[in-house]
Amino acid sequence: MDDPKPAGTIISLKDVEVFQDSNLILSQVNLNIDKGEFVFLVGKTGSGKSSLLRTLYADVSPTGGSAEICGYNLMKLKKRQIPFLRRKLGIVFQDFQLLPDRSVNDNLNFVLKATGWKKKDQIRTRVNYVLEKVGLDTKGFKMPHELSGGEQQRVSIARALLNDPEVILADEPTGNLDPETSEGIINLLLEISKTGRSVVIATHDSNILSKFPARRIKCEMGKVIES
Amino acid sequence: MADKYNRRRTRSASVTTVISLSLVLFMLGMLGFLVLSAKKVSDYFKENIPFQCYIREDASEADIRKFQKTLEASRYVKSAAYISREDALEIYKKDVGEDFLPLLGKNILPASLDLHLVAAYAHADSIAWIKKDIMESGLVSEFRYVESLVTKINDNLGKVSLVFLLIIGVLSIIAIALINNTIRLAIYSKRFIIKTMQLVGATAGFISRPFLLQGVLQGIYGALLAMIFLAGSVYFLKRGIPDLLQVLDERLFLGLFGLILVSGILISLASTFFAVRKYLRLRRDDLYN
Repeated sequence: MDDPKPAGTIISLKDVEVFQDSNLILSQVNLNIDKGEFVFLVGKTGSGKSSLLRTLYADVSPTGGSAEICGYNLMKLKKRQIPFLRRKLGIVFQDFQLLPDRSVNDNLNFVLKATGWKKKDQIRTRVNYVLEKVGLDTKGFKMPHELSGGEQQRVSIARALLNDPEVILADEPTGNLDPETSEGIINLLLEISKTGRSVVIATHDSNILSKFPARRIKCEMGKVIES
Repeated sequence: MADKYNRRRTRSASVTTVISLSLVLFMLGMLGFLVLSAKKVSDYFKENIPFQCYIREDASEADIRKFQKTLEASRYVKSAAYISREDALEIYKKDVGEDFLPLLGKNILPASLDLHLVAAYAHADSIAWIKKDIMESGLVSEFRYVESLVTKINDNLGKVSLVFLLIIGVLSIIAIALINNTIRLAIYSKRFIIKTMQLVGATAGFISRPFLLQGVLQGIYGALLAMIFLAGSVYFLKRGIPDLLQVLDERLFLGLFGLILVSGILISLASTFFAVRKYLRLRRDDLYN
């Protein structure tokens, strides 16, 4: 019989294998992350951090044991269910992944409309709320390329917050930013975790790791270990 | 400033797609126009083959007129014009530029009925029994036509139709491939945007909808432009060859315009649908290949 998932656990992986095409990237992955927990996923470049995060947001299909996130069983997840899982997650990328053909406001409007929001005044209120949270409430009219890297990453975090996600997955969110801006971004994510959301940050930024003491999970030699 | 530039660039990509679409639809429209009018053009040629019935010298004018009316009422004659001996002399003088009357002292040209047959009867088998029918009237001394012209027109129209169909088939495939390629390229440039939309929780239907709507609009604009080009071309053709285009009617044109509009929308919509679906299904890593 399978071990029961601990109460309050939002991410639970047991004996999972992660493949990229036919290459085995990670094996025997055992991982539990609780609600509201702030976790760093560390490891060298190419160690499998991004692949593990991609598995969590269903961009890569896991094999092996069992995998569950926000109540979704990743082993049995159907394609049509993926958008609904992603609405429970907030995903932040190193390269921001904003829609370059529309303003900050329209980037955020798109997400809300795509996830079923209909009323214009509610959409406007929510957009203003998340922009205020990341300190960009005066820059909604700007195009992404008119913003600095740090500001674009803040927009990306604001976007991740729109649907009040249970988990935020950040893949090298400070990879393209200077140390001072990086600290600001991590502080912002730390604040978010204090509101009850789990935050998983993949990084190899030693400066960040030394300044922010938190649980660390390490990807090394094809395994995931507590560091 | 950069925002304006970006929007202008997006709009110009869309304008390029619409223009490509309209040119291909125009080409298809011209072909459709030729196909739809081919039957009428073929009939036009067939009904312009001249047949002469030379009238016996002893026939009275009243008998000839009566015979002319009988022929005009028959199912196989489109028109029958009576050319009297005097008219024939005038035509001869005009065509040849000489007057043989002072030399010969009398008009040796016979009167005739110049016939044009209904297209369906302008082929060798029908002409044989029409000739027999006419000769049996006893008023006609000779039934004359250029036999080789009838054979050649019939043979060549058959060959031209076949070649035409082949060309249309090949050009249609090329046209659809060109439109498809143009639209695929336009969607290809947005493949990362499509992927990002998926990552923020948008469903495939929600992502596809604006692309499909744009596909329909591009199809409509392309078709409207193609119709304008086609109407312009036909207008100038009509001015250059008024006789040839007399055979075309407005219903044919309206039908063709409808066909262009439907083709434009369907081709554009189908190309957009398949291109977007491809990028929705591709994995992020494959977008770089």
